[in-house]
Amino acid sequence: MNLSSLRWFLQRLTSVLLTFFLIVHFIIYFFHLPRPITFAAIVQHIQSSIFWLIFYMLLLMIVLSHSLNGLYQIIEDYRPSSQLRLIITWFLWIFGLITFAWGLQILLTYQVW
Amino acid sequence: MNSIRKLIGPKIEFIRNLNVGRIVRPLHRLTGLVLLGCLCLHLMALGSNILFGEGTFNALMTKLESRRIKFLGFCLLLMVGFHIINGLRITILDFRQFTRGRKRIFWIGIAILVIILAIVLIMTLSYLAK
Repeated sequence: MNLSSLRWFLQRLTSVLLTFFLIVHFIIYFFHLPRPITFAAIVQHIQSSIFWLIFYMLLLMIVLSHSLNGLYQIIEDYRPSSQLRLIITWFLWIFGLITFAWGLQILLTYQVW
Repeated sequence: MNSIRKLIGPKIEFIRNLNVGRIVRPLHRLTGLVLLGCLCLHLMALGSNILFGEGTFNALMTKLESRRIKFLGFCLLLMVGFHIINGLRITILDFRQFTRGRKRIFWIGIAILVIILAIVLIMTLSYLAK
């Protein structure tokens, strides 16, 4: 399996996973959390079970992988040079890791509050 | 005459070969880009308590309850719905013509998917039963 087909496979896998994760996320957001949403309500929700921490960590990982992989595929359609492709790949990796770290920081803030 | 043909030729060709994929493909990409932007905004809003404190976060959440923002939220939901449905359509079309390699990948994917979905389903049910 080369890198291109691995990327194709990951995009398909994450799309199906994301569908399910997003449905659960929307159910929680629209039907479970009180209106207006407060900091305390989110803390209570995240701390109610360790599974929610894992759930949101997985959601963050999947959504970042899907969106940045999709962005790379859009850019690749414009046939950038190999040098530019390398720069874009590095940029997307760094952006993804920083965003994941930021999301993790948010989740852990809610978890340990 | 040739220059006119060159100019409108691709447009005529596009209209002649118009199909669902041709209309939906740019829309799928556009919604994907918009959703990536929204994800960044979502993470920034959720992280506002870290940067500015709990009070700012609560005030921001109250502002998000306005009708205008709710309408934008509804548009966002429509975009998510469109992106999901079209994404699933693409996935199904991709797997319709199995080659030997793709078939193996497909079943590995299904196995991973079933395991993760079972875990998430148990989590959700146990939480909602409380």
